Amino acid sequence: MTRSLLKKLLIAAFLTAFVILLGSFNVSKPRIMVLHSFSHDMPWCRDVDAGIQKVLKKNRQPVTVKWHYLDLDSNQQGDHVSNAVAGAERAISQMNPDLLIAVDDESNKYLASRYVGQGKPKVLFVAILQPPKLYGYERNVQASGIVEQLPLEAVRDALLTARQGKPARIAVLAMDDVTGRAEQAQVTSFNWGPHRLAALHASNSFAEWQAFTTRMSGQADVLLVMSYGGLKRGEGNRRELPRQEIATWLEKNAGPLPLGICETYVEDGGGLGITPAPVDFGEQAMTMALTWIQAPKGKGPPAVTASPHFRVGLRSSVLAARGVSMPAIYVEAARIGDAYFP
Amino acid sequence: MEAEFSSPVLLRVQAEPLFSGVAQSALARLLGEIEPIAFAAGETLYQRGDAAAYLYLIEAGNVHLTTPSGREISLLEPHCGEEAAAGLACYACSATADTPLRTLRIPRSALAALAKGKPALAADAMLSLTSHIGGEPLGLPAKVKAAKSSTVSKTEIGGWISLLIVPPLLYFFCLHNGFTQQSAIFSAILAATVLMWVFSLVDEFIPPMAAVVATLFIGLAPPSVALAGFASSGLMILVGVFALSAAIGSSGLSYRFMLWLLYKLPDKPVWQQSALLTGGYLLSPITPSGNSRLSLLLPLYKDMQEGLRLPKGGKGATALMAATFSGAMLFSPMLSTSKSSNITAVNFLPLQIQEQFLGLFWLMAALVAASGMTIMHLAAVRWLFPSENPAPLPKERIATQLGLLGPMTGGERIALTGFIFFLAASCTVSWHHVPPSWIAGCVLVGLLISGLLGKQEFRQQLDWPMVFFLLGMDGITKIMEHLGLNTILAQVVTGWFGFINGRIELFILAALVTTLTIRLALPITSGMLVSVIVLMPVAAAQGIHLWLCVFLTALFSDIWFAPYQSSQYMQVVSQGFTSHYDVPGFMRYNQLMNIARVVVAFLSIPYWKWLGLL
Repeated sequence: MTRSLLKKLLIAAFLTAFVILLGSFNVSKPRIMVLHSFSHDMPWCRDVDAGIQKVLKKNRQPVTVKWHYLDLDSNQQGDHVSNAVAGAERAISQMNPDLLIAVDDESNKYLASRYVGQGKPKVLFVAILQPPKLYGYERNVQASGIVEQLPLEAVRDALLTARQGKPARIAVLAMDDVTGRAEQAQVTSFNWGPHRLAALHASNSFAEWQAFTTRMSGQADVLLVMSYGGLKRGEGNRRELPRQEIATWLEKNAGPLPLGICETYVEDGGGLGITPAPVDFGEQAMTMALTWIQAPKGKGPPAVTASPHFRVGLRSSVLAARGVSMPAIYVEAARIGDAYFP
Repeated sequence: MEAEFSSPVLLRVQAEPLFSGVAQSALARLLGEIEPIAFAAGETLYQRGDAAAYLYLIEAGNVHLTTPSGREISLLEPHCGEEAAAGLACYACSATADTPLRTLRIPRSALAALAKGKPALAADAMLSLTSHIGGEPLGLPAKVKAAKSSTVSKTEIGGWISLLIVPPLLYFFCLHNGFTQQSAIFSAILAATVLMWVFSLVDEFIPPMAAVVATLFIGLAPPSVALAGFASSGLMILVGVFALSAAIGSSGLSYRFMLWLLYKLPDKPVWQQSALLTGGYLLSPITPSGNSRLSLLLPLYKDMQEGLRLPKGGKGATALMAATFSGAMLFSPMLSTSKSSNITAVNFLPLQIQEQFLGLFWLMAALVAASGMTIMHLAAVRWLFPSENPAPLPKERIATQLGLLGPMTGGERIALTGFIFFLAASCTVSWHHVPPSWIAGCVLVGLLISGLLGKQEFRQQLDWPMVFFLLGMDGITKIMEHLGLNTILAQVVTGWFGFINGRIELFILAALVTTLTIRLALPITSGMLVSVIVLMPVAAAQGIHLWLCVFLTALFSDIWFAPYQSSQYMQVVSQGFTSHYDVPGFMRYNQLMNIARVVVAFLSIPYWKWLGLL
């Protein structure tokens, strides 16, 4: 064998080894799929992703992360859900992730819960309002995660502050979908004392929301506005209503003081919001995921937790128009959380 | 009369003597241009004086040529109409078919395209035509023996084998010694990079690119880190300065300036060398990159060497290269702004020391070293490259040359304006606050808009491999920081220096060994920075002034033994200057300057004591 031929063979061997070794390293890296219930441009998903990216930026452990969005915010009708689920199943089967981060109740209800008991992928549920057991997430399966507790205690305290210690009659507006029903379950089971839950209305039609809001004038002191992503103008209307239109209309026409539990209520034009903190969910979820996939084999899943954080949003001009003034600590909390609007 | 195109056409084209040595790909293109054409007996192919539009390859049949004197001659080779391939405007003879004739007709434009891949085509065609007219073969050998392919050395084979073995071994070694998986794999990638350099297995700009690609391939670092150099101001300054350098050379400005220097300076080699050395020194405070300074000086070197008619590879040319290289490099550690890593390292110092050393005090503290290096350079050049007693420089000839050049051309004016603008704007940064990189960007845009650098010049005259080499090195440094390898290295090494016990002599040796070891794998900038990171805690713990730590690493990081360790020397190599000077002689000079760097560090000790730094 001539040296020239030997050199060519060695170069070929090096290039082959280069590609095979690096390729096999890539193949053997742990894989995580983030499955969102809603669309990527929805503020909630965007903020959860921001929290995830924050952790990934600091992470040096080799890991492949992919995202998939079910886009169920605009439509949760039968065909749309089944098509979205089929698409997500294909994406999961293509990636074959070691761990699936399923964000919000929809992705857990329709998809992640199907993998319970299969061993792979492990399921890390995030921001579910329903109890994990409802989806089959028991301690002995490869599933764990972060449940979402609506910050109702903080809301109760804020109402006392805003009303200078006077108890309030509370009316609740919610969507009639998976998330909406889970939110209603938490609101109705919460001990509101000294306040009183006066009425609750769940609908996917903004016309019905408007009618309920009008009815509540004089009947309630506070209107709790739950998630409204995907709210339609009326029954049979498939077009989603712009979020700003909802918040602005409520602030302009509602007799009771509106208080948003939906994370973008103040950003959309509302006056006061006390909402779960999506960035924190993202951070917690990815931190938990990285720890879990590094854990030695045989070790069980981490314990289920709840995010203790919440976010205060405040638009002072809207509150001032209603003659409501919040203490400085709320204003500063909103300012620090980048949710203060003059 | 048209004939059918058939597959033997390829065989005929391949057998054609005029096309011997033409690449297969060029022949493939040519096939698309060939037109089979047939002639009846007695039919004329072309008349003398017709535009020479086609070359005819004879497939079957006979042809005769009629020369200008009326002589009828048979073809010695199976083609006619060579005038089209030789570049003549019209046919010199007439050609007539003696029998039914089948030919392949090739248009002149296709032959011109073919000549780009085989420049000898025109000469061969002319020789063939002359043969036909003369009536006897002028015969060059049908095929020139192909040059013997470059031999493959044992070292190269050893290099490729070690490339297959060492990185995987290092990977497992690192894994078993507490490195994280990502640090272990990057160490293996880095080892492969260094091995490719050490054994010169590929061109020097390739290993850093391979390392960056491998890192991205496996996701060890995001593109924002691995390709950070390509999104940094560094890219702009490199391209801008390289473009300015190309414009200065190609416009003739450097040649004119060199002639002017030769005319004005005393006719002594030492003056000519000093001009280049001083030029580099003057650029140092305002151009914080040895590569940029060198790109501005190299055109001057080339023109001066040619102007002085210094024999290639001779001592005079080597001494001139030594002056050029040292002009660009010797002042690197002597100022805070003459090396990008100096600027970065200053940020590691406490604020009080930063303020003290950011100005001229750095140069003052480095005065003994700077003077010592200059003296040792002059002595080394005198000793290694004694004057060859060249013939006295004919000043009259130079004056005539300058006269012939006439007033400055538009191109020279633009290049000079760009140069003055760059220097003036770089000197006044503290006033206008525009960083030098954007100034270089302005110069680049100016040169492009003015048309001095066209698309072709921009593609060909800029040293793109060097740009990729430097940005690839930047990527490697950033990846190391991203993975925390710098910190790991510092933690490992810091514990080894307890023996110094506050003695500056031992600290100098420790800095030397540390920097040289790190520089085996890392380029000057990152090598210096990693050395600073490693040695700074040692200096702080031993009560040694922190600026000395920065200065010593800056000084010692300029030491190099193998070409791959110095991107500046690689720049000289990649621009083809190695044929201009005596490479072994230059390497001996470099070794002396390496020793000089250590000597000046020790010589500076009393001065530093006097300054109160020790």
